[in-house]
Amino acid sequence: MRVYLSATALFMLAGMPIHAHHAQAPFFDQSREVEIEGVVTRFDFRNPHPVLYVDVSNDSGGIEEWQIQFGNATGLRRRGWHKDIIGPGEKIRARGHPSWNPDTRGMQGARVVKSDGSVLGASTAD
Amino acid sequence: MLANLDRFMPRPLAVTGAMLLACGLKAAAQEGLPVGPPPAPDLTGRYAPLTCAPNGATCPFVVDDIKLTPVGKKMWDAYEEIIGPKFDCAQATPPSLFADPYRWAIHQLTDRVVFEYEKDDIIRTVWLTGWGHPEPGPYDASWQGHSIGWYEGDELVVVTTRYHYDPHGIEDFGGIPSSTQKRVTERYRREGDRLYLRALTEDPLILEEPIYFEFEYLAGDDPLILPYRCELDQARFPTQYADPEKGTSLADFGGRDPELVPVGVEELERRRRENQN
Repeated sequence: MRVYLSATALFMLAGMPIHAHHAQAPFFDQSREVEIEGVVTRFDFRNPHPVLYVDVSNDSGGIEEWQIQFGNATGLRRRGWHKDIIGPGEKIRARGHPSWNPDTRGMQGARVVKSDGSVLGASTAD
Repeated sequence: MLANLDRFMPRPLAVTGAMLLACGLKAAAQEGLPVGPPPAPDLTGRYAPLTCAPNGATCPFVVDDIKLTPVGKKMWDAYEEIIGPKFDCAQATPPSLFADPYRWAIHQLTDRVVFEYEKDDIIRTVWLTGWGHPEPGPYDASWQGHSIGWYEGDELVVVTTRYHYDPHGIEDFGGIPSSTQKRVTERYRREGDRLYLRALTEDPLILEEPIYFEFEYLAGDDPLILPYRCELDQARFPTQYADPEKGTSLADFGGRDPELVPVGVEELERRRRENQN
């Protein structure tokens, strides 16, 4: 489990199929993407924005908590998401826009891949 | 501008129609025939945004076409995303509400029309004129304002005033505010499974000229997903991600997205003329 935050790991992916919400720009850097691998500790499936909590090992051997923010729960529910769609202990890999505040580890617009290779929510999307 | 408003709201025609209707009703009453309100168009149903919000995207508006007053410009320039009341679960307001990618429903009752939205658990009550509903008092401003309505032919007309000041009450992606003088006029018309909305927003403190929206919705059987149940801690959660040094002015983050804001009436007319030529 690692978080790729080095200069080489921060890259532009303008063609990525990630829908950026404009009002997110002051909170998440829409020009960059980071990738993390970690273990889910909690999925807060609530409005207005569900959050997936992920423990990620850092280079110094410690654990950092990342929070992945999604779109609204109502829209996701319509696409088949629910509060148990992912749960504690599941290993995931995620790539998305990092939060601006250097004291935080937030992510938005993320594509989350489970350990079996499936994309979170992909099988339930309409 | 007045010409545009006249085209949007043909009041002389409405007055003439009402007079003719009154004469007809009087004649019917004199002849002992049953008298009732004119038939209302059937708008009851559940709707999903179609034209302006396909696949969750937002409307193709052009921010630079909006003509703001000097006060409006100053307020827009001063806008910081983090002051948005949405981070405290405040409801989205018209006209931005109309473009939100959520389903909603119309319920037509005798003396009122109720609009029910998935977004923010919003319930708007439109009081139909002629039923003697109480007028709002001086302290009765709200996020959704006070709405009155009536039927004109195949349209439902809704006029709403008495809004709160809203830091992004004209456009909630671009951060254009609305004042307590905001007035929104909606006209709904249904054809088959399509519902059409024409919306005019006036705000003399913020807008140098009214802005005009057109939306199309698709009627369907899908139930609304309720309740929305916005939770305060979850709503405020993302504010921690802003860099205190950078702030949250949209102008500092690539500017306002030109595709997210409504066009002005004059610009709309200009484009129509261009399309016709």
